[in-house]
Amino acid sequence: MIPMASPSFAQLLKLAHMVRTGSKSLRARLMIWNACLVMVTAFACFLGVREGLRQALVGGMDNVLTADIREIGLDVAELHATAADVRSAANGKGKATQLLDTLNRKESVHEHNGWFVELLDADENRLWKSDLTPELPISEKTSRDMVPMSIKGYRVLESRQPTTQSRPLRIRVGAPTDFIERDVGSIDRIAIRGVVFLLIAAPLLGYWLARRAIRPLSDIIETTARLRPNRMEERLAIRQTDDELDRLSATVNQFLDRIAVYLSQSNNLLANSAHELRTPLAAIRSSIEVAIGGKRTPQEYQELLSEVIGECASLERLVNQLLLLAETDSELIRAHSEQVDLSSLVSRCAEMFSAVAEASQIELVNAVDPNLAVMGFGNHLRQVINNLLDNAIKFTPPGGTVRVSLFREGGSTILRVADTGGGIPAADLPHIFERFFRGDRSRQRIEQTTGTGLGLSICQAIVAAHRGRIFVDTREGSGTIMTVQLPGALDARAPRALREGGELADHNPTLATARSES
Amino acid sequence: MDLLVIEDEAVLGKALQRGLSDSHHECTWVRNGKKGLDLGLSQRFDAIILDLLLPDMEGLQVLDSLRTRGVQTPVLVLTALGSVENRVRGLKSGADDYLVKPFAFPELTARLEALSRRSSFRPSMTHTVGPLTLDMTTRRASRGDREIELSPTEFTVLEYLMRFAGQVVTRKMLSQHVWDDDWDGTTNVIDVHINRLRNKIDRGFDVPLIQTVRGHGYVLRAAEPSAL
Repeated sequence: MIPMASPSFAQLLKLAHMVRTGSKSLRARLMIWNACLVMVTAFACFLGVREGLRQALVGGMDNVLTADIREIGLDVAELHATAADVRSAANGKGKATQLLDTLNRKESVHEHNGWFVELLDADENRLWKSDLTPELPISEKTSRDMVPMSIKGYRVLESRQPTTQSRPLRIRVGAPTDFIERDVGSIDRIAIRGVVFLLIAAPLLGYWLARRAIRPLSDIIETTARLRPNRMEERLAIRQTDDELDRLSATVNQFLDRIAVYLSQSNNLLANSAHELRTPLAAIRSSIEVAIGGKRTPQEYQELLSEVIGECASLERLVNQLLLLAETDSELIRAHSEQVDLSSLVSRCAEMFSAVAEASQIELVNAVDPNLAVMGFGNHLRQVINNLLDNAIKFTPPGGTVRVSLFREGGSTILRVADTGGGIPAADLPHIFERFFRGDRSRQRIEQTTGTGLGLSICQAIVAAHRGRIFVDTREGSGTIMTVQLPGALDARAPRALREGGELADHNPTLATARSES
Repeated sequence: MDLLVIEDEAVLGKALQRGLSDSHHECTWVRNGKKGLDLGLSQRFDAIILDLLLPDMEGLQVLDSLRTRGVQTPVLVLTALGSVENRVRGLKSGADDYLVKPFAFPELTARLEALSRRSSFRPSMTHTVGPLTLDMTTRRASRGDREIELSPTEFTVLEYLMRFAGQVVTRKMLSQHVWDDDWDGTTNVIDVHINRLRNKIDRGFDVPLIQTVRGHGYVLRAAEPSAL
């Protein structure tokens, strides 16, 4: 027996361990929970049915006994029989003999189910009993008038019948309850078969249910496991059930969409950057090859090498701007965020560009409200201001005006650069924040301009990293207004822990004397 | 000046050594952090040029070891990192100055001179370059017997050029000094400011003091250029 029993015992142990530790697999846990729940429910149902049946059978029996005892009681009352009458009738004399005959007949009708009747006097002395009456330990104390009792496998009902004497006559009727136990027992046998069936069926059902419930999850796992950065087109199936799993799939799909867009932008930027780097590289290479390719005068060498330095500068500019784009990770900016005195920053930039504006006969109007500050990264915000001013001056014809203003509006700080240039053509407008986008060169006043095409996209990235927004309002022929909205509006005069550029001044004497005019 | 260059990149290291020797500096070049640290601890230099990314140890580790062992030699850090990291790592670690790769050679020499001058630098009341004099208190310039009025920006630019008289000053150096800004956009903001200044100090004279060095920047010198 033991070799037979040990594997199933081991399985049981394993199952118990799984339940106790809480199995890692969601499917196993669902299965176990489901099986337990089914078994407990089935057992409760069985107990309920069993008890209900017993109650119903006993109740029916009680009704029969009550009817019988009433009938006998009426007969006794009709005869006005006393204990003495019954006693003499038992010996075949007196007026009660007819009653006893009736009772004997009644018993013989009910014989097959063990029915009995007995008559007693007030002192529990038996006057007469039918043939099948068992000996039952019933006493004055245990019995009540017209209340059925269960004693030793019998159901017994007693009636106290008033007589002409003051002491009542007791009639006791009863029947064995073994048939009730037999019926309940047959229910039990059915139930045991049911339990065995459930023991097998419930876990199987649970397994099936769990698998059905888990299948969408498995699909999600399989699909996401297949995704690769270079193969992002696959999406999770939406089953149109609008349940939690569908919502999970939809959320994951949205996330994948965003990643796909981000990846393609990154790839485009990388490809475009490589192309843009080629141009100055080609120039550098050609100049140097020309320089070492033949005998040149020192004058020629100097010219060629100067050109190389010029091309290096444009390479450097492009690399710096790409680095800046990479740096506009908002986490980085938030981590090193400090209070930036935007008013003096904008004024300094405007001062720097004033000479350029003057040389191009453009009026640069400074309408900067004093003492406005925001939290952010000063170096990057300055890039935004410089870029906007540079663009505005570049695209405004002589005699025009560029107006730079800084003011507070609600909880935000607004930087606005408005020019009276030609405006941005409607065809270009959707693309101006794209990386490496350059508008129609013919519009540009400065012919030799060699912008990287990254300026505005850098502005947008920096502003977004500061959780701000940048708007463009342009009318062809009458000008462009660029508006930068930065969240927060601080007072630059408030004390601050770290002065913007403070640590530069500490370490760097060549920078410490800067801003003498401000 | 006696200089120690700790730079692993061969072409850059060689160029630095040659260029610094040309500018009449004694230059020792090592290619890893360990040798650099040994030399920095055992010999006296006027300044150390330290690359942050070295093959054997971090440049900042070298700097740390030097400082903890009491070497106070000015250190100029070279870095290829982004601007945010530079500010966070480079300057807070005890470097005296830093330069982002790629850099203009005149800028390196200017920074080195600024570093070595740091201890002995005494601001004088007037700068004089040839016929040009700049009064630091009245903030006025004069060339010969002509008095020149200067705007605050023009004064700052001229003072900087005169401080490095005879040496090339790049546009980037000027923009950083005057506006604390490293704008390298396409518009030559600096050129326009220099032109304004030229209009004031060179107009009407035969010999221009402010000269453009093609591809580099500007130089202010009194005599005719002889070598360049």
